[in-house]
Parts: sequence; structure tokens; C-alpha cells
Amino acid sequence: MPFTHDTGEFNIRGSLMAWLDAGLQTNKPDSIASVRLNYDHPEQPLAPPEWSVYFLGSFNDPAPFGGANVGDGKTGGRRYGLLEVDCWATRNTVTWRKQLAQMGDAVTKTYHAAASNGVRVYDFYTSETTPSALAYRIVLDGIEEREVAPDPNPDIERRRLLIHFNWIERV
Amino acid sequence: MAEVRVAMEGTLGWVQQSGSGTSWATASAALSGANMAYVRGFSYNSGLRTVQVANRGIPDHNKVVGKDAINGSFSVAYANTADMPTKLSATGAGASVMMIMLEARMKIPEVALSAGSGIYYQFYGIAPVSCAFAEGDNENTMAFNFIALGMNGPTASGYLG
Repeated sequence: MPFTHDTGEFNIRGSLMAWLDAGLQTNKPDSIASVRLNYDHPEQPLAPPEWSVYFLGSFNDPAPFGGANVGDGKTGGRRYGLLEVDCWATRNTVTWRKQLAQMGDAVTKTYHAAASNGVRVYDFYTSETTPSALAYRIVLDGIEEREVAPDPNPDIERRRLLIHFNWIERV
Repeated sequence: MAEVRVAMEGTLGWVQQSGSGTSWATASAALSGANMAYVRGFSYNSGLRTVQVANRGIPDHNKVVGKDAINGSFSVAYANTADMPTKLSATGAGASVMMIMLEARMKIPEVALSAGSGIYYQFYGIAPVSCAFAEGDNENTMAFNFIALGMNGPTASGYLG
């Protein structure tokens, strides 16, 4: 029996990345039709304008449920996580301010489109290319923009957005 | 010395009471899966009314003159399943109010040769006093306040497991 974990962090990461990619593709600004999401920065070099995404980890809710019971005979608990989405542009492009502004808006639009229902969890353990939908979701808790330090490369401009989320890990 | 118990080691189960009185009364075998999920903050309060009897003005001994009702409360994160006593419409036989029974179990996994055993507290003849819904950022909750006719515990055997 292969190892699977429906609400394990691997599925959560995969589901968030897939959701973000689909959402950003849908909300791609017309002025920068070539923009794409870079999953593997810094292993994959930047090619601005570009989005990049980083999973910053998660932690357990310090207040457990009684008996750690989370329904359907499963035990577990809530976990909170942080996803960083960066928008990158280069000053070599005259319209870099517009690009950055529109890329940031695409992220917040993607976020708010899913804020009500949350992000569905998909089973990447079973298939990484065609994961099946699970009956669990990721709740989006908030999105904020954080200031960034000037890039070592003076050509590069960046916006940094953090998405707060939580889900219930069930075993 | 035994280890102290924490919330994660305890479960709260419920079952509809089918009879009146202050003992465990269900029509048949206890429901399976009666353990509630997403429970937080279970508490209860039971008291004896005692008076002190003095001998020539000096406290001499205590006398129990009555028992107080057992008040308790717990909170459940709202789910779409029957993981909490939302349907409190049926009344127990011989009783005029809807009644449930609760059982709080604390696991004692560190006790040798008694894997799966626990410490149980049972509450009988529970009428729901109030049920308060609250919307939250991460979960909606239903907070129950109850009043019980009687209780038993701590004891080593449970009905709901």
C-alpha cells in the first residue's frame, strides 16, 4: 500500500500551487500577456515580469480539539500556514510600475475569488499530474503586502504578498 | 505518580437519554460514533451544600444537607455532520424535557496493561439550558450550556467507549 496522506502538507502545497497558477492565468493582465508563475525560484532563474511562489511552512494550532477528534472517526488538528507570492519586474521595461501594480492586483483578485469557498484539496499523493479532488478544503485567512528591501540588482523591482491560510490535518 | 491529563487525551460523547432518572438510561446499546468532534472547552461544576456544625462555638464537623445541580458547558466547531447534539427535539420516556447523557473520557495510556482504558465521568438527565451560535474567523462554533440531574465519576468503565 503506497503511502498517502489526504490532508498532509504535500497535498496542501500542491493544491495551493495549482490553485494559484490557475487563478493567475485567468487573471493575467492584458498588458503583460507573457507573465507566468515561477514555482522553483531561485532554482529556476527569474525572467521578469514574473510571479514566484514560496511555501513558508506551517504550524499547529496550540489549542487542540477535545480528544483531537475531527469527525468521521479521524483525529488531527488545525494547522496554519503561510504562502509567499512575489511579483517581479525589471526597470529595463518602461512600464514596470504598471506591471507591478497589475500583477499584485491579479494576486489579490485570485485570492478574493476563492476567499468564500476556500481552496479545494487535491490528492497529489495518488497522482501529481491528474490529482483527484478530496472532500477537504484550505481556508484562506488573509492576504497582506510586506515591504521588501531593495534588490541587490538595481534593475529588479518586487512586490511581496503573504497569504495566510489554515486547514485541518486529519489522520 | 500518574501523568496529568490534557484536553487532547479526552473525548466527549453524547447519547439521547431514553428514560428518566439519575442513572444511565438508553433504550438499547449506546450509539456508535457518539464521540463529538471539534470539541473545545468542556467543563462542569458539581457541588455539595454543606453546613458546619459547631460544638460549643468551635467548628466540629461538616454535614451535607443537599446536592447542587451539575452545571456544565462545552463548545463545538460547527460541522455539517451529526458530531454534536443539534437535534434535541425528542424527550426521554417519562421525562417532559428533551434529555441527553454525556460521557467524558480521559485516556490513561501510560497505565501498564490497560491500553485503551480511561477515566470516565458520566452525566445523566441533561437538559440543554442554552445553545449559542457564534461566527468566527476560522470556525463557527456552537456553545452548549447544560444542567444535569446527576453524575458519576471518576469511574473506570464507560458506556460510550
